[in-house]
Amino acid sequence: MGDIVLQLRDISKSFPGVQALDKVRLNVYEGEVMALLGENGAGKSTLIKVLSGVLQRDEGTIIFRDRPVAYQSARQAQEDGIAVIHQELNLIPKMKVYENVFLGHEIRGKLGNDKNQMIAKTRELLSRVGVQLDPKQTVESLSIAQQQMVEIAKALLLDAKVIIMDEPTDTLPDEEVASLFNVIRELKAAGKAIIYISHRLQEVFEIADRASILRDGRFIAESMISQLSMEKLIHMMVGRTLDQQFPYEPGEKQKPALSVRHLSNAHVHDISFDLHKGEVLGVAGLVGAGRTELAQTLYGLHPWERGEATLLGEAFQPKNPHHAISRGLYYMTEDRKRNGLILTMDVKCNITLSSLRAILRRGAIDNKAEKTSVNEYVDLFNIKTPSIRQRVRNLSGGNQQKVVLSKALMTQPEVLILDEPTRGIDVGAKKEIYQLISELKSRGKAVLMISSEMPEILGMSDRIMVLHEGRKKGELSRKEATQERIMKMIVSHNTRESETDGAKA
Amino acid sequence: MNKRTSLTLTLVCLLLGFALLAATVISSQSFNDVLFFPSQQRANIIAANAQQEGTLRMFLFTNSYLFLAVGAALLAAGFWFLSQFNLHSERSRKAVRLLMTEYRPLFILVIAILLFSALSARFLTILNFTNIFKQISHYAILAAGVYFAILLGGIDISVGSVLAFSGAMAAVIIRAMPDTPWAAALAVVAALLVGLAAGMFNGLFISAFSLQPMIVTLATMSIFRGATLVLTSGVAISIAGSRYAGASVITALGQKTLLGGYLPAPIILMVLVYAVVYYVLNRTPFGRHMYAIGGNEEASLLSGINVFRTKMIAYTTSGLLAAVAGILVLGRVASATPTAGQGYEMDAIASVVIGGTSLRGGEGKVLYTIVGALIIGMLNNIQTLTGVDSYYQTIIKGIVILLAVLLDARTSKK
Repeated sequence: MGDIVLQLRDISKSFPGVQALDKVRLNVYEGEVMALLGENGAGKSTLIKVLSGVLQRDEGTIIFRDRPVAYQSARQAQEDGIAVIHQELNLIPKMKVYENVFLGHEIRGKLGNDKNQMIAKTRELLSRVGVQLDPKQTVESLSIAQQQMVEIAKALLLDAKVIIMDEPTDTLPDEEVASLFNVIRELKAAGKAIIYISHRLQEVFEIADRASILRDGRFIAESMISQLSMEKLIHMMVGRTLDQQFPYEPGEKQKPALSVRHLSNAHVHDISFDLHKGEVLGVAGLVGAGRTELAQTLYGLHPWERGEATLLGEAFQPKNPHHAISRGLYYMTEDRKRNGLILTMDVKCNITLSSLRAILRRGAIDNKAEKTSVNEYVDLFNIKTPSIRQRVRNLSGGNQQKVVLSKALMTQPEVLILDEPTRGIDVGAKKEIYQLISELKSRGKAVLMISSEMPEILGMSDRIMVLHEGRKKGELSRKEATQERIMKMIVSHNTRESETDGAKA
Repeated sequence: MNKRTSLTLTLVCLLLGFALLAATVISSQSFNDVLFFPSQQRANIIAANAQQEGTLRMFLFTNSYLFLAVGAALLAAGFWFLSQFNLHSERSRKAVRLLMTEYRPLFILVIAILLFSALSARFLTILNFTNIFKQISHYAILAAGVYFAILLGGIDISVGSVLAFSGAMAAVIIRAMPDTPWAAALAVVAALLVGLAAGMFNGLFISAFSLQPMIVTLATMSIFRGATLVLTSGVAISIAGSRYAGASVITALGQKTLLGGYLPAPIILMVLVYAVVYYVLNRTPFGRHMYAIGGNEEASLLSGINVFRTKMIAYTTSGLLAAVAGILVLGRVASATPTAGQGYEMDAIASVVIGGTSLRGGEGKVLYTIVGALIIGMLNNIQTLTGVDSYYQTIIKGIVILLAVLLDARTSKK
């Protein structure tokens, strides 16, 4: 076990009306990964902001390498050896890798910057964590995982002792998670301390040495990972046991709500399926399998080339989202911040945005009716917000997601397409969203659920449709479905396809 | 710097600056009502009052520009020291933040009224303000349309040209139909149709072909100005004279006053326009949709908003309002000039920006646009009252716009 390199003692921080942190402790050890865990709103981000100088603490001490510190800005913290790798990476896409690494710390040569030295140094920094990457590539040509490596190289350049990673795997395809973990192991071996924030608890068990748990701005526990079980961890995070994570209840077979036959366009090829009322149809596949494109096609965002569909017994070929919504189909996007919410608007305006027609009185928005229905959704979903006039950008991820769901449900859809409905939200909010999906199912709504989280797909779906490269590869019933079978389906069809190609040739 | 020194510095700077300004203003205005004299007149006054040389009054007068500059610098320094106070209570910090963000246009308005009142005794009178409102009414009406465009994250710089084009169209029709009183109705309808069509033209290029609003309206600004030149053959078209029966309605719109000269018709029209626009923005789905599109166009589309239609209506309205202003301008001078409304688009955009609307779109309050227009109008007015050369006025207006944008960028980052 390494020495303590960073110690936070009794940190408190309050915002108007909220005690965000209440005497929180955190110890970070050399050469170890400390997972910082808690639900959204538990105070993780505030703690990181206080530590890295973005926010100033009200009380408490921070001891870094045996001396008390109080950073006034993120830059100060960075230069003192505390690096933060944010979820939204801080890189300039059009610039080259080495230019990004040395941004603000360029090596000066006789004529301008000394390019060669910077390139060599970048290569050396990257190889230190076992990454092969051409420093002369532009950042935009890299995968997200590779971009993270560039961020890590930046941290190494400044000789960071503590590296904070905020949800690093959230935007990462599963295939790339392993390579990130390899780098983290290299960093550990080099004696760096890592603070690792993630909602994916399975990962925490894989990569972390210890965990510190926060709840409602308070310190709950610090423990070696080896002494924890998943149940115990969740219990500490939410303060209650989540007896059954997926509230699945089988429903009766009902009439189809949406039937699609031979749907083809630039993104998907010959897709046919039935989605029944009171059913959750999971859509599984790798990143880039065409799942989101299928949903967008059904929502009228991409033109249809071939194929037809019936929605609630009538022919259906949407011209645009407005048309799809009016026919009773709503699509919830996978990236709520990018295209799910209007961040400049408040909770109220976001929730009613798709159904303003329902609250009109003589052509004008009926303020009273609007407030009443918004409050209904806020209560129903238990959306935590100081007021319905609060800007959505100030809400936590889980609450933002509930706002998007409220917006969707207010249009009274019969068919709901959910794209990654629980991405980036905490365990408690996830559970609430699962419960809601079950509730919708029992009310006879049809749900098409796209998800990259296997347990979620397996736990919530009545049937699972597997897509790969824009084609439907098969369907599994709930009983048949396992993670292995789904993966096998993707792979086997691939081989069969190449076989037929070979036969043709 | 400790608290006591900074407090002393603040007070000294503010008081000394204000005293110096006031003394200079009083001494200068005792010779004439203005502050800034043409240099010949200034020399004459000094020569005529040679026997007074050495008195404080003459000393202040002869060096008035220096003292005005020093006074203004001291005031600025005082405000700077004031801004450096470390506010400890959360409440006062929040109050300052609100003042600098939410209520900034009102805050600037109050400061401007106080300062301008000190610079001229003729500033703070009801008649002067009636005058200011009358002057701003034209570009304030344009600004309401430009607000739509900016709210959507775009811009409309063609409004000045549309104003000229629609005014010229009305004038041409009235000239063509002498001795027919109902020509006025036809002229007004034609002008509005011109505005409508011009706005739709903008909207079509911007939303159907996804072109940059800045470039599209830059092009149409040139097109409509050229069309005006063609229509008027490059000369002013007068509609004055008793032959043009139709003109009386239009000149009434531009000139008539109610309440003994205190309520000119253009002001009524401006208030009416803003009342309607306010209602549309705050109470109708169309208004809500504009805020949404300005905030995030993709999310708006995915939420089922008809983005194309909303943009079309917004830019069309902007053209329509420019036509309304065109009729007012025509009525005021009873003549359509090919250069009418030139530069008005800048005043309109400045009104929106000083009114605190984000150029990124999605955020803003339309009523603050009137406040922005009022601030610009007051600035023009005080410079005329104090005798600032009109060439310099243009420079000063540019500087004020620059400061407004700078302030917006500085405060919205936090």
